[in-house]
Amino acid sequence: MLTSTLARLLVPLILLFSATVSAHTGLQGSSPADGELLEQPPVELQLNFSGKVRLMRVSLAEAKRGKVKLAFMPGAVPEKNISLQLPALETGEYTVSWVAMGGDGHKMSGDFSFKVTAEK
Amino acid sequence: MWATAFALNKWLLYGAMSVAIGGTATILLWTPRHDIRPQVKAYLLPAAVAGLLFAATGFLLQVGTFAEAGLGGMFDRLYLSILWQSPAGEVALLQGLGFLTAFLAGLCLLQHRRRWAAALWLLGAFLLLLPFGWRGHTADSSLWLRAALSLHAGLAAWWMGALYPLWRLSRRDDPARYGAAMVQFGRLASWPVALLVLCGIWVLYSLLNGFAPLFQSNYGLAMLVKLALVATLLLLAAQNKWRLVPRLPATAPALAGSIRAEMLVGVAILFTTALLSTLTGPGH
Repeated sequence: MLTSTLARLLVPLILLFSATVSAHTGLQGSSPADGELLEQPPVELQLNFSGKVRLMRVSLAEAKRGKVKLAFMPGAVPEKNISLQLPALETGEYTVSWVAMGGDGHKMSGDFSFKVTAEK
Repeated sequence: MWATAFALNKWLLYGAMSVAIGGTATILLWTPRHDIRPQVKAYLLPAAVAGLLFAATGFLLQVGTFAEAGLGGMFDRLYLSILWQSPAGEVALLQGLGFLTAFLAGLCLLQHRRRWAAALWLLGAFLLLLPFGWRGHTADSSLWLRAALSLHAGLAAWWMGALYPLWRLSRRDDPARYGAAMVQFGRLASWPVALLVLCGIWVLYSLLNGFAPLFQSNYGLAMLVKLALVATLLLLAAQNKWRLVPRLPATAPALAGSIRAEMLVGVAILFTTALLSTLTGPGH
């Protein structure tokens, strides 16, 4: 009986936890910034975290044309400020998605968008 | 999906760790000589092997989490290499060495080499407990707080792992003889349990910056579930110490039932802890 009572207790527990996410160190700022409108396309993407992280994935997608190829390779060395060269971007609305491992080993992820209103 | 799998694996890992730390200590100190070999074979050695597997699985699950390429991503060479050089790799290595040492301690117990077993147990416990303060939510905290978390984990593992050998002891035919061991355990356990609770309260207070967030965040609410389970465990332990053990042998069946209940509550506490340290954090 005790076993079944515990089983009934554990199911709602999972539900309580399932609504939560992990995020410890976070993205403090970026260039281009979230929601920024640019008249000139950016040549570099900068990600500034609140602590040292291992950046595992970065992807860039344009709303209509889809994924933009980036020269990114994940590295084992943790960094706080990370810069990436961008290819020539056309006008459009871009979304940057990133995945990183925080200093405490937890996974964190996020995305932000910017707009390029004129071509280079 | 990955986070849930990692949390469940961590739950099983905590179980194996409890056996390696608390089970070995209890068998070393209180198990009758003739019952040592069966318990080592059925309890300690399988848990040490399972612990090795859980440590490896935990690492591979983290590789899969970051590779984001389905189950095959767990074996992605690039991410395997990166994760191995990260805290995840260091923790997996320490856990693997810890369970290997616990396995060797079990082998020494099989041959009645108790001093070797005790030395290996100590080394294994140190290796298994070190990562608790090293990474996770206290990774950026002071050395004292991290040490308190490792101590809290060690004392909890000692208590949880002790329950099965004690339960076996409580079902023996000669309660008059095992009663002395129970009294000794109850006497010895008082201070470590008090220290376990104090370390837990201090770590919790420091992580949350006070107790108010207990009632204002998902993490706090989930922690309250754990605290309720811990309170239940403390009540059961108090009942054993002050009501059931002094009245042995008349209370023998009740004591066995109470220790069994402690084991089940302990399993639920480890489950809650695995979820708390994986799926959520003090910032939520």
